[in-house]
Amino acid sequence: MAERPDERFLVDKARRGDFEPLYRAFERPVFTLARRILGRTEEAEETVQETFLEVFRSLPSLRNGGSLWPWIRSVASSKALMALRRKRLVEEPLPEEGAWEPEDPLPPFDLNSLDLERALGALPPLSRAVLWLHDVEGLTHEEIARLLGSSPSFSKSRLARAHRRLREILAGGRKGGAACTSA
Amino acid sequence: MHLRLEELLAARDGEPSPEAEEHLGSCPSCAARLGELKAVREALQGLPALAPPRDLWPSLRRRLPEERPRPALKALWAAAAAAVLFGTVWLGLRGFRLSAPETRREVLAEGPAEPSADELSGLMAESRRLEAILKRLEAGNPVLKGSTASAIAEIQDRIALVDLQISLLQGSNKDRSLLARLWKERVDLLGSLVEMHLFRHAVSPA
Repeated sequence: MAERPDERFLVDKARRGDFEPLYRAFERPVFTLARRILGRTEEAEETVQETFLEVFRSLPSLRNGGSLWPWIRSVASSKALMALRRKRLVEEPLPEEGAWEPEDPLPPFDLNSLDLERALGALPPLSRAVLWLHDVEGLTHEEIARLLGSSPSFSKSRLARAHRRLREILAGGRKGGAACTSA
Repeated sequence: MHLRLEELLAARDGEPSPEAEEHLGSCPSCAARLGELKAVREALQGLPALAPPRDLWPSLRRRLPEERPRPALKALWAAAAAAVLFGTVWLGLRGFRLSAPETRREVLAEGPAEPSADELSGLMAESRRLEAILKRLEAGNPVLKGSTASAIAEIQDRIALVDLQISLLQGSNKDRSLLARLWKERVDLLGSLVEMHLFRHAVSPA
């Protein structure tokens, strides 16, 4: 998201007690992030509220001059991941060591937003969270690892797992494809 | 042999290994798969932004007055330093050994050596012990006000985040060093909470 020119104005108003303009400016991106990660509207709504309560509490210590969205996105990501934990949605078994096989090309598929939304919703929660944070929100594996308290390699393997599963769902579970012999 | 998916994703993100780069130049299947991964990312980024189905502002506004803006970090640190100073003296008088976790912290900070099972279980036991103390302290004086409540809430938030991180690592034999660091952080945060409660008990009117 591009830096908003009126962010200082929003923060000044919020510090003086008028928090609504800041909330309105970031309501949609925060809800989108939460809803995409959590997959459920009610939990996303609660995450939005918790995010802005945290933003409100942290206003006194906020440095002037920085862009607000990376900070708010970080708070929202953290809150969404906490919500996953509260709902015990992150209890996915870790992939076994050496379980990754070389990828075979899969049959072609159509990328339309409706199918993609459905496929995204069908992903395991943690894989979906990593996919969204990395591919859409633009967080690096190092940033995701910090949020998860894990390693960048953990984030990378989750991303690969998410893409594999997403591809399987989009292709209707079909597998196959041409061989490739180069090393 | 095709590239692994992780290698393709690294290439998509602009960080291909030299071997992967070379392979992509000679394998149409992997090059096509790479193009597909780029298309999926673009399609994900093109999904429409979502708006809450109902206006959340009224309920958020009702919650805001309950949430006092936390004091600036400097004030928090000053309060925490005072609490630590008092707590250390008080705990020393009571025979509460702060030195044990400190010693473990020094050992863990020395290098990347894998923590032993004893070290991990020791941190977990320390965590349980501090939680039991905390429970008794909270039961003795449950009313929290002002900046103390904010500071305690902040530490509790951090503990919740550490718990999340621990839960994600549980069951995995990887990252035992990280797991130990997280348990140590949990012990430190619980220790800070105990000290703040002790400080609060000491300064509150009888």
